[in-house]
Amino acid sequence: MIEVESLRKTFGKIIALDDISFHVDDGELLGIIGPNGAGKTTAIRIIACILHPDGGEVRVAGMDVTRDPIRVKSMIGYLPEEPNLYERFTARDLLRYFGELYEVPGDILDNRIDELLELVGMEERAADPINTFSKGLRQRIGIARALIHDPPILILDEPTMGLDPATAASIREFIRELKGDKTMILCTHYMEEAEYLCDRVAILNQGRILDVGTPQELKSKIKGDLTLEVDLIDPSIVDLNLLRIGGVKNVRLDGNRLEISLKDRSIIPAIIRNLGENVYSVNTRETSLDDVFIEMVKGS
Amino acid sequence: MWTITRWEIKSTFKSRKFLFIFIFQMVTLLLIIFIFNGVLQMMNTTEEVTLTPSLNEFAYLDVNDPSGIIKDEINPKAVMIHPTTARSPRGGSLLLVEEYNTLPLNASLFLDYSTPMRNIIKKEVESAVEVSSRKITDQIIASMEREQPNVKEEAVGESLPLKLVNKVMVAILLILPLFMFGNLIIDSIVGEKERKTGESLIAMPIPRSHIILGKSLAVMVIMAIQLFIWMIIIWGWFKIPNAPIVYLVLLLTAFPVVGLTSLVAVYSKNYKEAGIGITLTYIIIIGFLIVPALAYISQKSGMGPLILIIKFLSSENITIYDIVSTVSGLVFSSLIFHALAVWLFERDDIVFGPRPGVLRLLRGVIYEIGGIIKKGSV
Repeated sequence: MIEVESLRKTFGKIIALDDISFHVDDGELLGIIGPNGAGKTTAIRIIACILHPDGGEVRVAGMDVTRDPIRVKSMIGYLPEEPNLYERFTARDLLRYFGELYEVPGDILDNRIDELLELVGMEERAADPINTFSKGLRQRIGIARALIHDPPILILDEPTMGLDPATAASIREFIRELKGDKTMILCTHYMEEAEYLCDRVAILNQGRILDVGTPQELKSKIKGDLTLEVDLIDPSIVDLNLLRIGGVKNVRLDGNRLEISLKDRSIIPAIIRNLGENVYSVNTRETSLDDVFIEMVKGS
Repeated sequence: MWTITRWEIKSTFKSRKFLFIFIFQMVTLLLIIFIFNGVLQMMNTTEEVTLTPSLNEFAYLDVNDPSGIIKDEINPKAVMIHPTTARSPRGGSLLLVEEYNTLPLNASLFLDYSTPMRNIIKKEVESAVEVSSRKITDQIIASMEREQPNVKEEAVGESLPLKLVNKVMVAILLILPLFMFGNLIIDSIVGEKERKTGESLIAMPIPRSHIILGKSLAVMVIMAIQLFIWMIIIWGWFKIPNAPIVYLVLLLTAFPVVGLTSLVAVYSKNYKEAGIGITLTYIIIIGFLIVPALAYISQKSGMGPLILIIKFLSSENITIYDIVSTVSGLVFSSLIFHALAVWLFERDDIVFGPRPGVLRLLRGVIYEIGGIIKKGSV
């Protein structure tokens, strides 16, 4: 559905995107994660035909974004990082304005506005001006605006940033409900959000893609599925040859704490035996995308 | 593009802030008309005008002038006269005139220095003495001449100040509303940057040029409505001739003004920058409009929208050349300004930054024009 090949973009002397390539399949939700200034927003702005690429190719449903931007734009629903809305408009007027810009026929538009206001739980605030809305309500209206023309592709830039946990959770659920129906790209800072929602994740840093894969694949590439945290009595006598034990993927000593990435739980007794009486306490936790992200960004 | 225009007009007319500004502008313009009309009437009147009406009848003068030769020439509106037979002042100013039989005419003015009105009294008496002296001299000359030549004096044409007031000022009054819409364009274009709503608009399936042109057109429509109301007021007040044609010329003049304002607004980062840019731009535009008009009044040559308006207002002879040259100039400049505004808005660095400096942009324009010419020649 979306193909990005050797994409480049510079702003003056700053290289925002340096030869990045990835694709998004039909109905898939691809997450783009990366630190601030990694180039996430630039990448999705180019896909949404908001920015012009300096090099490379981006095709959406087979159409080139530089040659056919109007048709590409009509297929995309875009929620920017800051969905600043026209303050004087009412929620209904705002949806009508954007609906008309997307050339949604009048009779369909009225029904669509009602459906979307119901979907985002704002039917009672439809006649209220935007400047009376909280950040969470604005985000909901922003999502409704992105869906006004029922696009096959949805691009969401940090949709839960700055929201309280309850509102963020409801927006995540909303995105999850859309999965499968729409091809989606989600830019986020929140690793748990990417892990929870995304089919695949692309890790972007300093304008380059470090890796793309399912959260599970990425976790298993960098670390195991499980991390064993062992607090040691005397870290100076630890045997770092633990890597020789089959199933141990990575070992890291941080102060008194030894972090061992494992493939599965079955080898924990062998490790404890190896450490002997030097063990003060033991804890296990699932490896998260956070660990992968930190490891990859550090490595790059 | 029409959707943007329609919604811009709709939201502008819904805005209380705009309605307040709209009414305020009309009141200000009406006030200007009122003052202007007063000055015009004053310039046209042949009657004496007292510039210090508040001082009337406060200047008090005792006058002992049995023949009335000076007393009759003193303006009673400026100085209150009290006839007396006294030959010395009694607690105020006194004008003592010896009975006039033959020349010279002898008179004394005793000025009361305790009152600031003494200056008015002194001036009035001096001018009365001058008038009466002239009359006496005229009488003597008349008595010496046997035959009086019959010389009649009649005023023809208008004096330069009256021309300026009658023609240039009415034309300036007419173009004033064109410069009252800068804030609307700034709010419409720079507001998208300041409120960060522009990104969503650019994501719509319309060319970027339609966003700028749609917004310009909306401002033009609102301006046309206000100009129409304004035109009716001016027409009703001054009974100007050729009002519909003058309205059309004004509308045409509005296009490049809106284009240039849009250009400044697209380049500006924020309201503050746009405000400064538009103020400077308007000073230059007003200079370009008014200077040729003033030159035309004194030298009867030149061209420009204001000159065309002046010619229509004075029902002067207008050649096809006058119309074609002015209209083509307006259309051309309007196209150039709008094209530049669109060209800037198409650039990512202008919309999303980092914004290039004016010199770098100018170099870019030259390269692009060079590229187009090169392509054309190939």
